[in-house]
Amino acid sequence: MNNADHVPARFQAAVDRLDGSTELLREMAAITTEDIPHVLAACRSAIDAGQCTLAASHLHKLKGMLSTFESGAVTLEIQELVDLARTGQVAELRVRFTQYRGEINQLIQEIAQLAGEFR
Amino acid sequence: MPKILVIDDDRAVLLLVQQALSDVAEIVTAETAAEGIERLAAGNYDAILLDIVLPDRNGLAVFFEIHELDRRLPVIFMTVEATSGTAIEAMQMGAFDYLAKPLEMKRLRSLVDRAIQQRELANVPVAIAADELPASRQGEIFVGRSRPMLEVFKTIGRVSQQQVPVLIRGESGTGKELVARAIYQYSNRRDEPFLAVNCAALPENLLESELFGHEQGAFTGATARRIGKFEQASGGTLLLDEIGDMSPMVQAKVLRVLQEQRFERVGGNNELQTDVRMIAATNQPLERMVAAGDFREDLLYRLNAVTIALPPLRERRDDIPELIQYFLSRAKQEFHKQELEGISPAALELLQGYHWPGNVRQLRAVIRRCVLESVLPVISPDLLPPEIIAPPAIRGAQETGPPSQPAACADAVQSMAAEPCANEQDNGQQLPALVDQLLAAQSTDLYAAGIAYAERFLLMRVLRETGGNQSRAAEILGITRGKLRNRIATYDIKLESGVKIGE
Repeated sequence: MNNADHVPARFQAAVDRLDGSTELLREMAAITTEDIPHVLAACRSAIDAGQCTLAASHLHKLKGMLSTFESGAVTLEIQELVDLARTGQVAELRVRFTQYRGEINQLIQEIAQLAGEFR
Repeated sequence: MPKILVIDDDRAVLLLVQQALSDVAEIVTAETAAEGIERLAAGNYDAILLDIVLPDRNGLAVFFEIHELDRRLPVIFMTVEATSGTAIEAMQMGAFDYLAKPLEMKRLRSLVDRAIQQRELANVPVAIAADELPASRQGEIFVGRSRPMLEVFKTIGRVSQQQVPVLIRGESGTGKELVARAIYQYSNRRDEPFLAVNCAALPENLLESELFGHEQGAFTGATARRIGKFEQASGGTLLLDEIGDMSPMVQAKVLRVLQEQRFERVGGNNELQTDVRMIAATNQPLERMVAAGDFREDLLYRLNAVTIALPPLRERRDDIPELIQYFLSRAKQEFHKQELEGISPAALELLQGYHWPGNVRQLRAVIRRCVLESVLPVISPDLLPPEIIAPPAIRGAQETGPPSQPAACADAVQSMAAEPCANEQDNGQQLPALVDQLLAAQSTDLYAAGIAYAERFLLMRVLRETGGNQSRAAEILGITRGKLRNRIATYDIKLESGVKIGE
């Protein structure tokens, strides 16, 4: 399953987990790119509405989807958001979500680029 | 082809699992708990991969429902929240195993492969059931009906009511203390005390005080009079375990008790009378020790009046199934494993074929550990320790060097580490290579293997230094003679001509 295609360095660990298959990684990226906007929107909506339990659930799913590609700083930040949601700290949750959105969107874009090269 | 059900709401994960396992299994997917349960009810599966957090229900609750439908179905949890709490909770509930996300294909394949194998093994009827023992057997002291054990029981019956000392001989773990207790319970002293002293566990001066007591001021620290075991057990029975480790000075005093039922406390002048029925136990060759001057011949003659020789477990293999059932039943109750059904034929065959250097004690420990670690109703071979699973050829391997394909020979490497090295000239420098190979083989027993290698080398080296003199070796090592003796037996170190392993 080894594939000599180049992927950005931040996804190299993901390729290693997939036994070196960049093709599989790109295929998974295509699926995630399709599904993630809905999940991200659900997170935003729940956080805006102050629905902590729902927000925690959606954030947990977001984390799972993104961790497939990179399990570094962004996933740690999302876990922080999950913890805030679970403890009902709505105000802090909103602040941090705004703070981390840039990095989360950046990662999503890079995953989309990965997928774009697959399609 | 095996069939796997994957329940996860992340479509990318479903794709990954399909790609990883499609060569070895038919993969059926579900994105919600409801869909998963529906598919499960409609089909037969060999394993389930289950996300702990699902959109419609908690995965742990789904697990219970799966369990209700099929208790033998291995369920592997998956979650991105790989906290210790989640892992512990999942395993406590009876999950087969637990995968942290992001998933790794190698680990996924290895785990599912194991689950499929377990499923196959668990589907066979159990060879020995872990049923509760019938009331008639609840109070049994001994388990076994083999001819050697029947002889032991008969001897116990003959001598228990006689006022003669008994010497119980047998390897470590054969049940010498059990025999001593049986003699006591069938004697006319059964309403009087039964006390036991391990002669290997105490240095000479403490042993003397333990047995005979001491007067106030007899030595530094003797701030009050102490009543020793010979006095405490008067009218009753005293077991002197590992009597071969007793120093000559204490042997002399014990001999006097045997002959005259008299003794003095340490530091005392008064002669005291006692009435003790003495039982001694040993795993050592006392006759050889007499020849070497380490044990008193006259004491041996006194003790040898009646000898009960306990057979090693390998000489009473007929008893192994019954022993397994006994220990299974006990462990099932102790660890509250109500769903445990028993042991598979494959596991039983391995247990029956093993040579059991640690005898019944070792068998009991193995069964208890299997029960503790079992997650499915049937105990299969993969729960057994590596030394039992390894084929005999590898157990007895004379290799001195590591195999060239460590990943493919993980069992051989494990056995090399677990079993005594046959190379007398081993200079202890194989440890780094051994560690590298175990790491490459993804061993999960690396600490025990490494410690065993180092300990074995250390004992061999020191015993060579002392020319096989165990007393001196124990002194150099800073451990008791009893502990040294146990380690010698564990590593099968022979002290006949030169110090070597096995044979």
